[in-house]
Amino acid sequence: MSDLICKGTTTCEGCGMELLARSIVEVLGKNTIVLTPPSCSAILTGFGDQTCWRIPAFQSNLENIAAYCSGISTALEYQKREDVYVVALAGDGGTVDIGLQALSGAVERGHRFIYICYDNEAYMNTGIQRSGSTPIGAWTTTTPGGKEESKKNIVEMLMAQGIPYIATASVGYIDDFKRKLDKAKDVNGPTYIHVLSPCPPGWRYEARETIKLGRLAVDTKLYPLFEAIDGDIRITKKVSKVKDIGEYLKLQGRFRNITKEQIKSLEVDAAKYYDKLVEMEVE
Amino acid sequence: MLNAQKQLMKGLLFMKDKVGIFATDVSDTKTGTWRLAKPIVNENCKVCGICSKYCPGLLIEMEDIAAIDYEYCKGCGICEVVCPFKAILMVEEAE
Repeated sequence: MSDLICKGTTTCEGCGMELLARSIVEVLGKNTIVLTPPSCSAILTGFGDQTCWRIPAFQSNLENIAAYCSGISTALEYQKREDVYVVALAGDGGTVDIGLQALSGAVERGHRFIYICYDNEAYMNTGIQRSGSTPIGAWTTTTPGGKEESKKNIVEMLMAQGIPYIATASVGYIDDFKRKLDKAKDVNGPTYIHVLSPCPPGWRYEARETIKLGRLAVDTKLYPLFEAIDGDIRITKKVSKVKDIGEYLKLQGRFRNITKEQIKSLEVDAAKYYDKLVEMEVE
Repeated sequence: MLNAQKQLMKGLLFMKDKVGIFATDVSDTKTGTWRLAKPIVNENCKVCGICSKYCPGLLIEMEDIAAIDYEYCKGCGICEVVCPFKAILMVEEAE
């Protein structure tokens, strides 16, 4: 099924988003309509008369991708085409900052679509500007001394809205992501998957470490993997032996100037959030 | 007729029996030319398929041994890192 995206895509070497996009079409098959906002995923939708997709794809605006999903989903419902999936592949800027109102509205109205956010923790396509999803202490071109605020938790926000299926995933555990997407596609309503997708030029690391970093983020508890079906949380990757957070930070050039207090706060917040998830978990 | 005009006519004739708007794909962009280091598979390969699962371009096929599509491989080196048997090693590209 990998031939649903052609070879020769001009994403950076070691791109987590490219692997994610190929996994999406592998799970969903050819009866899929993909939407991308202006972002790195727009590279796949193409430029001029060229495209990388071999399935229908649509280039939306940055702030309204979820609104376009609603429209397409409603049209399919009217045509009684339940076999066609509507998928949005948006970055973190287009999801947690600019696209938030459209996403929130579409979830509230309850349209059937799958929203996948690949979280590379900044506006990478326009040249590494800070987004709401950038973690504390991280360098970007607009936070040259390191970001001072912590990361926005979009998953909790959507869970508060009562979304039927929501999950977090990481590029480092791609089978786990595929399983979650397989579940999401059968849900008759809005579904959301938040995927951590390391970015070599933006995070300032060597392209070969993409998968390693995707795994380290989970193993240090910084990025817990879980899913929630109708609000019932289940942790899909239990972390029994926590890895040192320093190992994750020192691989990335963007954390070169992080202070000791910021590392401490990252560590404490991560442990606290993980414990909260364990407490809320349904047996 | 000028050469450019001939090209245009040829293009229009090709489009005649196509319905609606269509786009061409980017397969003619040979991203293999970007490569600075080349992954070489050695005899340790157990054909487990982990590299093919994590290759961002899904360019590795499992045959008798992992077979990499060098025409498009950008040489990121992810396959070297994820391989549990050290069966893929990155070798610097010669000029």
